Amino acid sequence: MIHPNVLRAGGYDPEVVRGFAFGMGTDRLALLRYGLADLRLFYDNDLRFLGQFPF
Amino acid sequence: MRIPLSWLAEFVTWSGPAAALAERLTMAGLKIEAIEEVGQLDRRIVAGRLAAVEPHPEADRVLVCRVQVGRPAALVAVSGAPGLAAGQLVPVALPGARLPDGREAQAVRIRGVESAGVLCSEAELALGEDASRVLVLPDDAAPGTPLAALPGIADTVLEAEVTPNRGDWLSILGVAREVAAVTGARLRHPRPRPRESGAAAAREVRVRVQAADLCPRYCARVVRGVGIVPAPLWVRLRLRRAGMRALNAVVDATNYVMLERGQPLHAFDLERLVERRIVVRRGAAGERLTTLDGVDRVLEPDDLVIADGRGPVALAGVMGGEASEVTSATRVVLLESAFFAPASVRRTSRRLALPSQAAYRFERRVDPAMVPEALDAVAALIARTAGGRVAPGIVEDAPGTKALAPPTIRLRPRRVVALLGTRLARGEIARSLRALGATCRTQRDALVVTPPSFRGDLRLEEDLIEEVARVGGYDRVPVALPEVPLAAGEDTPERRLAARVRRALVAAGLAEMVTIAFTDAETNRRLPGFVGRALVPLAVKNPLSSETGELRRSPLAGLVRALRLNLALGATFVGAFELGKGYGLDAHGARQEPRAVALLLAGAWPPRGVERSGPPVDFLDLKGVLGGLFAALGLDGERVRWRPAGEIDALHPGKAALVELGGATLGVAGALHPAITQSADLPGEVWVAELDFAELAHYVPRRLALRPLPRFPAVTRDLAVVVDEAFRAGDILEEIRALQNPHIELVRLFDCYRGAPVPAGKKSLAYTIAYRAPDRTLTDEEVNALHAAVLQRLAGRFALEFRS
Repeated sequence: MIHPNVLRAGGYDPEVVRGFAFGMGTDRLALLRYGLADLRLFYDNDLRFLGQFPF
Repeated sequence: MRIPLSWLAEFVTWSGPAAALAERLTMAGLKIEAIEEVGQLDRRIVAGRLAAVEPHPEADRVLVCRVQVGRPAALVAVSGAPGLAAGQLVPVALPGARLPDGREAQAVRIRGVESAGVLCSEAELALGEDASRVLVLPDDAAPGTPLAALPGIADTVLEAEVTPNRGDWLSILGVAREVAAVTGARLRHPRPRPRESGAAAAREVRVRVQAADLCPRYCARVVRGVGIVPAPLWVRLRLRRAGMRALNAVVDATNYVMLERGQPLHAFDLERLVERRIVVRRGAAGERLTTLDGVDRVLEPDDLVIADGRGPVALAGVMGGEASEVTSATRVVLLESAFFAPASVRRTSRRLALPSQAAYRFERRVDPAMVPEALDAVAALIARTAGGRVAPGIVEDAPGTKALAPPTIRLRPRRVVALLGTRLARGEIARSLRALGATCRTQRDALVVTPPSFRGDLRLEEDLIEEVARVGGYDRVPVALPEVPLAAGEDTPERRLAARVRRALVAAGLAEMVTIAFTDAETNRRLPGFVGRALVPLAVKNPLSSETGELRRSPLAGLVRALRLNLALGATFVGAFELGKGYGLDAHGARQEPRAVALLLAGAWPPRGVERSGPPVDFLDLKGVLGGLFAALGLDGERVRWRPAGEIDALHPGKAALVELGGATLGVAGALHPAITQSADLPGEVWVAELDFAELAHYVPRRLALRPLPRFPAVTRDLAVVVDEAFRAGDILEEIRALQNPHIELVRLFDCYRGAPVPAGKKSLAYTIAYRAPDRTLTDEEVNALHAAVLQRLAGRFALEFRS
């Protein structure tokens, strides 16, 4: 839930407005999806890795 | 934070498996990262009573011991260790026992005497650091008992990751509170008081706080006649399991109580404090202090110091001074327990690069109520383990206690519902808060809550609500999806275009890459690319490394880096593209992030069949890939012009082209400048291109314009010319197209020949022209006339030598 101080700093009255925020690293989700362990695989751009994705 | 469960058990009872406790704590927010079993000694390492100790007949300084190990006959063990005496209970490793370092105890003959057991030091048993003497055990075990069965030896240690907002978890007591709150178990909170004797402590020392904002409360006790001896085994073991080293009973006691109750403590040699007084004040500029680690430090007015009559004796909350530290000569100890402002301790600790367990806790705010309690506990422990008489009374100066009082917070149950989305009875809310140590009373429809002194993180109604949810368990809050009206969306034209670009380039055999947006200053200077060529590079304020010190102006920076990596891994073909951005400041100082299609080709094409390798990549391949891309996007390839680029940064001056369409420049294509390929250790040529994505988008037709199929056949004629080597074959194509003759359907270069009979320095170009009319078949005469007009136009324009 967004902290009331942050809402106020954004010009909102916390009594009137509430907010929630979340973040998921898409690269971390991709790690889970493809069963990988090292995030750097996505940024090294090793063609032997990239070439395994047919789409 | 390392939590030995045997220590935790003194404050709260948990009878389940350690893993289950770890799970409960993790779900409550105290993440347990590891569970370690310690002290799992081989059961053939037992307690042995030294019945008799005699010098070895054949060897100096070696003793022959008769050891009772619970068997009818005493065992004989030979040892060279100092300090052995009859009556001691010591660890004996029987033959076959495996020691923690992997060695196996064996029966050996030492100068003629058979030794049937090894008397072990604490280091050999991984119970401590001392390898110089045999460990003497507490007296109360039966000989023959495996060491692992003795209290405190075998233990389970939880390794916890404590978040910065929960300084109260940095102690055994703090974790015990959490266990009690979350499991409903009862917390035991003993508050040991030392037995006092002799003259009052106030007669020994005076305390004065001059910086009340940085030190609202300072307490001290005095202990006379201490012995600087090792602490008992159980203290040393707990310190070790909690990750601290044992030094002597006095210092160990301060660390023990800090770990147990969360309040850092310091011990001074009172007799080395000038004028026997303590002043807590800010440092004066230029003051110096040699800290315990022997380093001489210059202080600043921002540093909070503990000073005596002469000058600074300690950095408050961070580290004590060398001159007043407890040594083997210390007889009278001054014990300090205080609340130091978190920000001040953090500032000094960072500035002097002095992290310490004490600073760590002060930075996260200690419990003001624990200040005197910890002092009593450490005084009692010192009296017990180091001897000494505790002087009556706590000497205190607490000018800022009012500021330390916890806030009173009004908690409205409807706010609980609003934030958590689930209705909770007021009684349940109060129960959760009381379990955390807060006091609650009802006031009309709300609760008035005072958080406990050890929870400095609870200040707002929302903080309390979070605690109610946390203690109840986040996993028990019901799940509901928000109901929001949605409209169906669709991709923007840019995303659709990007998808088409990707498909076309992948179809051409390239791999899409995503490279990081940062690069080093040198690369950024050399590789401006196309879209960012006029931009001023943006430097990062706190780069992770010099290699990522600037935002790249061109995605080529990333592609070249990826090229190097792939070549180093043995790739023979590298074909890659990136739809990425270049970054920088424009002429007005505004930030720009133009989007580019960047691509790179290097090496030789992969083999297409029974061959070792395909042909090496060259400029025509690059042109072909781009031509294929344009075709896939529906751009009229005939309208795309390729012009020699002249001087373009980063590209080879003789092998670079501007790609133009309709008068605008779409981008550049060519070979990387040899200066770049050499400095990056790249073998061979590297072909790159960068197109302005926005410009491309501008020219991509929105609709297909289909042409009707021709109804009448075409007639083709060839022409061949011999020209100088430097002549541009495209000029002829353009000139013929410039005729804009509707009957000229197609012009194509189909041959470029060098060698006999063409003279050296010249080349032969051959073109085919297709003539077609939409409404009739052109006659030979008509075609000849058209062709002659073309030749005439060309002859008039260029110095050509026609071949038949």
